[in-house]
Amino acid sequence: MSRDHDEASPPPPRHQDLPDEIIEDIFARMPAKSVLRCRCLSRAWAATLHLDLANRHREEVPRLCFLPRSAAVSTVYAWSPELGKDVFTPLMASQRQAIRRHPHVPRRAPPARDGGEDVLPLQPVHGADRRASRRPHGGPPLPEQRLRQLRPRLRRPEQEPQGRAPLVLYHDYQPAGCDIYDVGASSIGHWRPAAGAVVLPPGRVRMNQMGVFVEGHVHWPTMARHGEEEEHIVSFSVSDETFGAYVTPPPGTAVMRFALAELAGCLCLLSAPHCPQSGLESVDIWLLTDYTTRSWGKHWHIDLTKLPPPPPPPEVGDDFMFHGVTPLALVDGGRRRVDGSPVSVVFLAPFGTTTAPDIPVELEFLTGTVVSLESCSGDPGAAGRRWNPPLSTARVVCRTPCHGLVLLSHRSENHHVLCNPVTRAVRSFVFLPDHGRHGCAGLGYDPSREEHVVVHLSYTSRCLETRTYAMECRVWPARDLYPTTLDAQPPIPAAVDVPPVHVGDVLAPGAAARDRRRREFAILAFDVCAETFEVEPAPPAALLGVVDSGDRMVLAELAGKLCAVKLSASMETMTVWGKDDVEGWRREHVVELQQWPEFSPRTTELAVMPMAVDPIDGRILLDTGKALGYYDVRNGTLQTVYSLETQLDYRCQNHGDAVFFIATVCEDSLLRPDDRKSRFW
Amino acid sequence: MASEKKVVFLRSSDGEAFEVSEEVISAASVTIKGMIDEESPSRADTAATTTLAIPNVTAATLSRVLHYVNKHFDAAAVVGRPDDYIFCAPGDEHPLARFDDDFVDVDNDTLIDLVHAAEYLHIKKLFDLTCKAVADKLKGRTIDQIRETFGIVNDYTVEEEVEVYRENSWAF
Repeated sequence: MSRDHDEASPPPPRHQDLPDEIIEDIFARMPAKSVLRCRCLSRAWAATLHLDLANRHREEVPRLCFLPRSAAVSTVYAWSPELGKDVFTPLMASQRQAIRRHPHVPRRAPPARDGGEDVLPLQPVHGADRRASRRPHGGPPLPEQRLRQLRPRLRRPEQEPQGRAPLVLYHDYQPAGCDIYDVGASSIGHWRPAAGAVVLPPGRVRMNQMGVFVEGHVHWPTMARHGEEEEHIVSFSVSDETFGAYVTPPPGTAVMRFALAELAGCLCLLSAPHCPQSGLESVDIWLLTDYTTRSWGKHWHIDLTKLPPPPPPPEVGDDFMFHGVTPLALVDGGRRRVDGSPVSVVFLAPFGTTTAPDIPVELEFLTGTVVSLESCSGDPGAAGRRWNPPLSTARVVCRTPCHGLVLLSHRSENHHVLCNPVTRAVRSFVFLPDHGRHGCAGLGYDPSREEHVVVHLSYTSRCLETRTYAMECRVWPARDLYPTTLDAQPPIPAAVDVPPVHVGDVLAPGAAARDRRRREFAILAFDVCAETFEVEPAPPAALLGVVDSGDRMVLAELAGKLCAVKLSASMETMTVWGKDDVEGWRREHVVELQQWPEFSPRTTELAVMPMAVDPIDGRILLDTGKALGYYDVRNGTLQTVYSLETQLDYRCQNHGDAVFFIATVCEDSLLRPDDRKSRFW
Repeated sequence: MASEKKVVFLRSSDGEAFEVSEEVISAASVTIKGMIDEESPSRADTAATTTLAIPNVTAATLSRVLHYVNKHFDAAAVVGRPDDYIFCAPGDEHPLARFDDDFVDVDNDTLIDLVHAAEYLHIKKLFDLTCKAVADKLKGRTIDQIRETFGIVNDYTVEEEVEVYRENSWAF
């Protein structure tokens, strides 16, 4: 180490009387690397910094995490330069069913921070992903003009974003543009073209890899084309929104498989020899120690053969992880939810049965047909262009988002799609075998594993005469390849024709249930974390009043609260009870819908549902699948914000009456629906 | 009926008194808020102003601290006088970011005094700011320089020192 320092500043402060607590506070604000360096100060400091500050810096200490090569393994090993060579620490052993779960990898929750900006690198999006089969290849890339048309909301100068996320768009396997998402800006869900001089990456960015944010730039590895080029690293300046020069990987690694990460504030490159058959044997780790001169230092060589032997052959998901190594300090996709922002609504079309009357095929192809409500209802922000929502021939059950992810369930098939309307990333969940009956699926979140879980409830047999039934509950963690059937049986028969809701992080009431034996409503709750069922009381009969045959009980989540909603066809009202931890059930709203036949439970073919409560003025957003409206409980008025009848002559499109839009609340989230690292590359 | 804003006087260790709005200093400093709350029953009837002794902080430091406090915690000043922020570039994440940068751009002794004062007065924002500033100053320092700064005695033997440097070699 060099003892003389190049900085020509005055000598450091010379105060011997600072108490240790304050010194610790100061160290806690230093980068992890400097802190660990300070372990060389003295024995006492080594002890203090190891125990205490290592905890504070836990997220920054570079530890490399060895994901097992299959989902069946329950232990993740960490390797850290702190601990020395060839020492592998088991990070966590799963106490639950090891077979089905991807091991828990504590991920770094806060996004990288630099100069007050959050930067959330995303993996590049391959536009042809889902629809590639429907389109002939070889067409020219889209003109940029078209891209601009679709994302009309440019940032106003006074709205400085709190963060930006770049996204590389692809068309026909060629880079077609780069879009920027302003995190925390008012235009939730709107991507805009990058403003910089160079908006096309100089190379073919590897499509399934996350960008790595270091030194104000997001970095992506490129793909070698037909072996004729070497792999490079593309850098994108977040502040200038432009692609810059290549970062050349260290010599000899460009022909190997490499992955990028961020460690200790440096760009980190992991390189491993190609060995598709036998698995990884060793990994070299390089750090870009000096960003300006682009000088790499090879820091560690890890011999993976020293890892403990793998367990017996797994049942599922053997091809789960092609990469055996993932650094813990990898910047993840980021999750962010801006509370209190006005309700932002988008229309989605996740299934193939949809048509978007006036969206050019090319655009649909690039966007995955997500259209914001503003651009449909003629908001001036939409640059004068008005879109129509994509339409679905089936009413798709759509719940409020969980960390920005929305679960859409096809009513007639066991097909569920988890998507993020902001990033337009989609993952399908098809529950097989289908017992000829469809069930209902809900989305929950397991905070202990930082993982989203799709919970599916269905009847395997049901006899109404003998009142016997058998139910099946399957859980599908979003990182897993397959669902698992639980042993636990719901204690009461659940109504699978009403969609479940997710409330809170810990407990996720899974399904509305009717305990028909007692002829009372009850709520079946499923704790995603513990995988247990509980029965919670529904609003008591005294509160509910007369329930006649035309009434429907559904559950909803409004303003973070579990709500029971009674839709009365005879009274044409919607009554909402909210559950309070202290006071129990309380009637919150009565929505009188007699004057608005479009929204009345008597006339709407399927349920009118409360979607959200506006956090600013408390109005309730109602959704019928054909119309959206805000109901103001204070003066009992309803304002239609979108209606298929008036906005779109949809009958002319030969759809008849049986078309719906799929509206969902859009949250400011960049979370990926399958929270898994690259599976194919 | 416009009631006068309540003020308190803070007396530094070297005897100088500084006037500050009670509302502002209570919002900023947990310590002084506690002192005011203790005092308040005894002075409820009179309009007399309170003088609080701050024995650990010198006048020079206290005046700096109050400058910071008035900038950051006086809502009226922040809203009412836009002139101070006219030089803020639109990209600044916070209108006071530049003020903060200038505020900690002082010599080391002053900075350490500010850390002490912020800790004693329990002004979390200021404590964070000053600690971060010290940390930034130390970031590139060698081990010997840090030892000197904080008066830490090197109690490693030569062999131990070689070993501990080797263990942490990746950090250098």
